[in-house]
Amino acid sequence: MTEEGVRTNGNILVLHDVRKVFGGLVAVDDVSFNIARGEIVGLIGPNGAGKSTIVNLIMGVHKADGGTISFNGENILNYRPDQVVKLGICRTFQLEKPLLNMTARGNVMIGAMLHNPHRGEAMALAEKILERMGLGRVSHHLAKNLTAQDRKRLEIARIMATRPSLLLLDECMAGLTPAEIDQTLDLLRQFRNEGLSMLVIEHVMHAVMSISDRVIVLDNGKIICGGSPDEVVCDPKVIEAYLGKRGYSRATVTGT
Amino acid sequence: MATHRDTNVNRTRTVSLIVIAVVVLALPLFLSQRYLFRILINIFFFAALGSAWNIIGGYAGQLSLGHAAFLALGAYSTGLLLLHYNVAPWAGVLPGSILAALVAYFLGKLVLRLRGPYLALATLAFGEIVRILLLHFTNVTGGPLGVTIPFTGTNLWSLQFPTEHVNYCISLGLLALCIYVASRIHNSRMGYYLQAIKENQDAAENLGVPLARTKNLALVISAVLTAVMGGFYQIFMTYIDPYAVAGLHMSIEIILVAIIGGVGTVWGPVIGACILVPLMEASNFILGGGRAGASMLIYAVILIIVVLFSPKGLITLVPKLEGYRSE
Repeated sequence: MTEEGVRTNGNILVLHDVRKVFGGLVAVDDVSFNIARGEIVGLIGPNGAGKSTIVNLIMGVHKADGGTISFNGENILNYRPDQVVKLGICRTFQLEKPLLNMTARGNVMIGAMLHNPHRGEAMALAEKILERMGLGRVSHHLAKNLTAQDRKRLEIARIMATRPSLLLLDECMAGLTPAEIDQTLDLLRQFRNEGLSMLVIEHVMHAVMSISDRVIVLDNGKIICGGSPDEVVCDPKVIEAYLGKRGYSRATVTGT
Repeated sequence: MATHRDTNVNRTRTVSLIVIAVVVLALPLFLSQRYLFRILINIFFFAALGSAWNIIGGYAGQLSLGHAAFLALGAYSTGLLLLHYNVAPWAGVLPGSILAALVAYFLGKLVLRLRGPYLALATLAFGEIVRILLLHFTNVTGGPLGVTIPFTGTNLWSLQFPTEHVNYCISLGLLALCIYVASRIHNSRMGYYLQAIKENQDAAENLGVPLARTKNLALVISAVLTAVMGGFYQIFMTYIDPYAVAGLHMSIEIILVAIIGGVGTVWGPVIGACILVPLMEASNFILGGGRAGASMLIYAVILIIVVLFSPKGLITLVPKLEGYRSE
């Protein structure tokens, strides 16, 4: 108990030797990492590295084949997604999944109702969050009529309504313009200042490098390196994972 | 500004509800033909069934093709208890409802994890199983002969009366009950959760919606209301058999009422029943028994026309009612 307490001390999320196998494919291979309270951790890696699988394992969408996942010292390995959300972890989807035939406000209300069962309260909270996210003007629009950027925003807005303490952001900036990415980064920094912790999965390198306190690189289900953004971008293993062996040699030759 | 409009809409709605209620309540005073009475009762009956089905099939979008089974549970328990033990129908419907709740609970545990067409097939199979069981256990259920409650003169205990006035009031009351329950759910957190489930189950679950519990509760409530209507069906028709109450055509009729009227809306099933029941009667009436099946043909053609031109249900022709919920 005390040992567990010491181990999770200061950490909001601890993954220990987490493993997930799909058929013959080891999607996540004994992955261990932690996220400190108030920390923003970037998770990068090539397509198919297992990044989204890790999010799904934390949420309980997939059941891990081994290891432990503890949130605030509580093992959440066998929890269902709705139970995980209730504890204070919430995620966005890589391919956003808006509730298409509900309004933007309705979408956010679903999240808000977790802690505000009454319709009126949930509605007021939803309006407040939408306003803050710059979505106030589309609050009454059906989600299916929103623009790509607004849909990405809505993903974040509705998870904020569940009052999370840890956000798992699965490519919440993919497909946005540079200006829109900067807006989203500002927003995430505000959230961090309010004490939220985040796991940010992102292919937009500029975004993930500028917001993360620490970056973890995943390749073929294994963590191949981790450290500050600056350390990670210079790591040969990372360059190799992204560009291949030839790419790595070319990169070193040109002095990158 | 928005609230001003909302209160206006609210007032219009309240006034029209009161007008409709007065008309419906006063109608029996001016009706003399038993036939017309039975049509109205049928409208209330199917509107109530459509509302009950709507809770799981419409709000949550979990297509159940086996609701007739719950109707049969209510009808058989009411009929058999009255026939063999002289239990009054209003009491006899209780065990049937409890049984329906239990069956719905375990059915839900088994099949509600299925999605789309698989769920529809599973519930279809469930409905058929119940129908076949009713046929099979002849010594309890009467098999294909069903259950007949003989008319023994006016009897307050077994709710038997020479006119349809009492049935009219009971069916109206039950319809009000179903609409009340459905609208309470629709406007509560559960209603929002059901709508989220209908839209995208994965998104809903990752926003904190407990999928299994919410769907199961909706199915149980829907099944209980359906079973209660089954109890009414027994005393109204006085005769039931497995084909009439548990047949697939009954399940489909219930669904059609909701879909034609406006699936997932509170008042849709009422509109659907107001259209479908008279339509069925009219096509029967006009074509008569001489050309058997021809009435079904006309019925089918009109259904296709409605679905083509108003795929979201006839309620969309009444924008005020449709915009009942703006989220």
